Amino acid sequence: MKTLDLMSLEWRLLRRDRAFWLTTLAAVSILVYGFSNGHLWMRGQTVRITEQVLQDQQGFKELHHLAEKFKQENQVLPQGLEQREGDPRYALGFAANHHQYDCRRPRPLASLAVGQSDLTSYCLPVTVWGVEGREDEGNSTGLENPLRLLLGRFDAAFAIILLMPICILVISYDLLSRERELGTLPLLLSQPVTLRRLLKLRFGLRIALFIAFCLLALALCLAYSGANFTDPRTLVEAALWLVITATYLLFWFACAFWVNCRGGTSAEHVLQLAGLWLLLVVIMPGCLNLALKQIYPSLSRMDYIDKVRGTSVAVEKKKSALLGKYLGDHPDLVAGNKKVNTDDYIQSRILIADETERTLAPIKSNFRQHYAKQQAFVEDFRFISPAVTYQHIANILTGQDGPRHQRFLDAAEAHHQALRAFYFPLFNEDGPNFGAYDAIPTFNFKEQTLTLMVKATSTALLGILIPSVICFIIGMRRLQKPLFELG
Amino acid sequence: MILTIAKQEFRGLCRDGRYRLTVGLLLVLILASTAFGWANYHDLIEQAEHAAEHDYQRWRNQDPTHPHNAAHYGNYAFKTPRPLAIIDGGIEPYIGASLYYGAHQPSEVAFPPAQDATALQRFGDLGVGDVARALLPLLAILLSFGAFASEREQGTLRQLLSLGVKPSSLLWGKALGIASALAVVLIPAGLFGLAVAFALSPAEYRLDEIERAGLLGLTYTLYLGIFLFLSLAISARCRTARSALTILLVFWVVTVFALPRGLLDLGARFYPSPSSDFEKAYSADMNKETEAHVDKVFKKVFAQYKVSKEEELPFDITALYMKASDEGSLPAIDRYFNKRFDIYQSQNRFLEWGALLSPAAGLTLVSMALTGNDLEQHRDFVQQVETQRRNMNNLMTDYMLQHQEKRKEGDELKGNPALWGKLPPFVYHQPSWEVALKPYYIALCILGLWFLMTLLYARRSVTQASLF
Repeated sequence: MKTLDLMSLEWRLLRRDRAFWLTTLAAVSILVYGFSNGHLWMRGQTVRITEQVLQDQQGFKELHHLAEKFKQENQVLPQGLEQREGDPRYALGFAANHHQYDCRRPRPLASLAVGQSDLTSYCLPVTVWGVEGREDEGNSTGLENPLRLLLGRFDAAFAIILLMPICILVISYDLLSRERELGTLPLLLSQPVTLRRLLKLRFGLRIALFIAFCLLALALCLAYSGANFTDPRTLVEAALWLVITATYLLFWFACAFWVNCRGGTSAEHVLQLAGLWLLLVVIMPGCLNLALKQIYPSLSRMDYIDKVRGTSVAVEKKKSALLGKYLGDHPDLVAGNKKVNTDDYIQSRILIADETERTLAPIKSNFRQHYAKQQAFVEDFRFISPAVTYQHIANILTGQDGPRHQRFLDAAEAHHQALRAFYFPLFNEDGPNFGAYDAIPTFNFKEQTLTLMVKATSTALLGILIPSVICFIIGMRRLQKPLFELG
Repeated sequence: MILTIAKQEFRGLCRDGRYRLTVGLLLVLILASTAFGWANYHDLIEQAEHAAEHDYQRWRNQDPTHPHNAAHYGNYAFKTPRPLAIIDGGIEPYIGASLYYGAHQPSEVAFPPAQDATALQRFGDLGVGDVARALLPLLAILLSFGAFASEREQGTLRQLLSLGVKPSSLLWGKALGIASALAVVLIPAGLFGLAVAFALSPAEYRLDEIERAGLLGLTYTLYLGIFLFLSLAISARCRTARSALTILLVFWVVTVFALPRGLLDLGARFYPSPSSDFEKAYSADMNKETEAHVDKVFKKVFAQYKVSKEEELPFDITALYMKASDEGSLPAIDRYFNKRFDIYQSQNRFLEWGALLSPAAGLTLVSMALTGNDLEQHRDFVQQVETQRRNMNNLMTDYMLQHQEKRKEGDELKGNPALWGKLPPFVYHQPSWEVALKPYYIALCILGLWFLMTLLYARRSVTQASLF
């Protein structure tokens, strides 16, 4: 029998396979619903970030304008430094009133996976005195329903990881055993066609159609949602995402193929595939999470609060001693020597900020290192389950991963340090003539390079593809055995 | 007859190596997650007590300073977990166990542990509650999908019925046999829950905790009963074990994993979570109402003293301003607080009524309520902290009002440790189980309805199965 004839026969059968079409329709609907949820979340973030950026720009313009107006009108100079904080002609006043929010913008594919982004602040107010809301109260997760955070979002990534394997199970668990149970297998094999060829074609057709429908639906959703495919980076990221998704779905078809080739009844196939799903999607990741929590238990945030509060009290108490030492080192800044230093207000504030940051640095660094260890553990063991591998890479490709957030925090911290380096010398020599507006450091966040993304995706691809190929090979070898051995 | 069938069914299951393996694995999982939960519970208790004690001591040992500065320094309120949190941690990882309270307005939750965790947490913790909610129903399905369908395929169902065995006896016998097999996992877990509740609860709410543990056990039993009877019904309805298993597995995945998430997301479409507009409106309203109230108070005082400016008053008006601004902000704080939690509640209603489609959705809510980790008890905690915050601010402003004589520049009013000590340490008063469960009566009733309906459906299906 020619391949084309066989294909035509299979196609005729598939056309009448209501379970296949209904399941595929359900899968596509689930994906579209998941995508729309993710898109809603992404749109909310984008709107908020855009508002924030506009507000910052507007604020800057107004402040700039006010400073120039005060200068032109020769407004009366403020008496004390505290009043100076309200006057934008001074660096101190400009810094105090120039509000800048550093925002982590969603990547173009962010609608596909919410990832960890609903748990972390994506806009942080950064000032010369610190980065607010990073680890302090008032983070942006404060307004989300905690139950929603617990259950997680029904996004496309969730649908692919958890629900698509079940759809694949439903359409492929009995592709061979059904023929055997109906007694049509001997009849089918009486034709000039081998079981291997028949099964390859049967699976091939379903794999191609199912994956094509799912990916097409998602690609259309992406296009409809406004993803800019003319941008080469977005295009490559989307291509990588589609490839890795196709591979993940292929893995589950490979499992179904292997189970079909093992022989046994359809009920046994359902049990085996469901068991595999349970093991790889629920139990293994859950156990990995449990192991992670025991090997690297989260550091106590209550202890952290305790230390931060203790530090702020201790630093405040040490203020006089610190100031004495500081002014000993910098006699030029002793009050009265300079016109601008009518009191020790600025020095005190700088010292308190410095000392607090210095004391808390090791504690914050501990949290950072601890998270890095946890992340390294996940990366080391992600290949124990294709679901974990897929989740890991999907978060990276959509820009919703923890390490990206850490890079964002680092960039915000670097911005804050740059502001300190820029403003602190000006504060000490402050006069009503601040005009270096263009030199004010701005936020600079660099995305991970595309090469690294391609590398990460290739590793993940191998991690999912190798077990898939093994399943197919074992299945094929099994089919070489005589028919009666197949159960 | 029923007992004979039950014994036979139970013996048959026990002989099955797959059953022994599954039960063994489940017990190991439950034991492991319990041990981890136990260690975590002890850590949390210790940390919370330690941090609360330290923070309060720091508050009391503050150097003399202006009372309003002291209010700004504020305090942290810590919530100690209930022992049943070992079974179901609920929303705790997403809200944390501490809340700062200081001057002017309540703060948001701080340092939720979930923020420090990796993306793996989205797969779940495999805690005792998760195992019971997700894996035990699967065990119920696996034990019962073939109860009638396999007998029919093998031709033994007809034989059994021809011997005069009543279909209903067959149903009760099989249900009892399978329930006994499930009890091998359930009874140790239930007894353990009661023991934990008894051993770890402080004496003042030990009885409440034991009652909660008992109710939790009953709710999970009801939930498993739903899966058991539904599986028996489907098994009786389907011609083959294959189709029975496929239908049940799809039902399990959809109702346990997909629907709870999907329903809550749907709820958020109808009742969107508060956005930045909400925050802006809150801020604007609070400022507007505070200013209006302060103006009103000032006008009254000015009229009383027949002056037109605050400088003309015989006393320093700062304290009065603080008091008035605190009072003026309260209606907006209360209104927006309620509005925000009402939005969450409306979203959660989708989950509650969604229990009509997914029993797991209803169970999630009830289980969290009974273990003290649901939204309503979090709301109660936040409200109690807010009361403490207001008491603290009242204490500070009252002191300022008592010392509102005009001062020279540099002569700042200062509170002292005696004043700080007047604020008692914050203690969270946990609600009783009746109060905790009240918001979820609908979910509980729907679970009961599910049980009843599946039971009737099983009975009807078995009666009809006898026709095949």
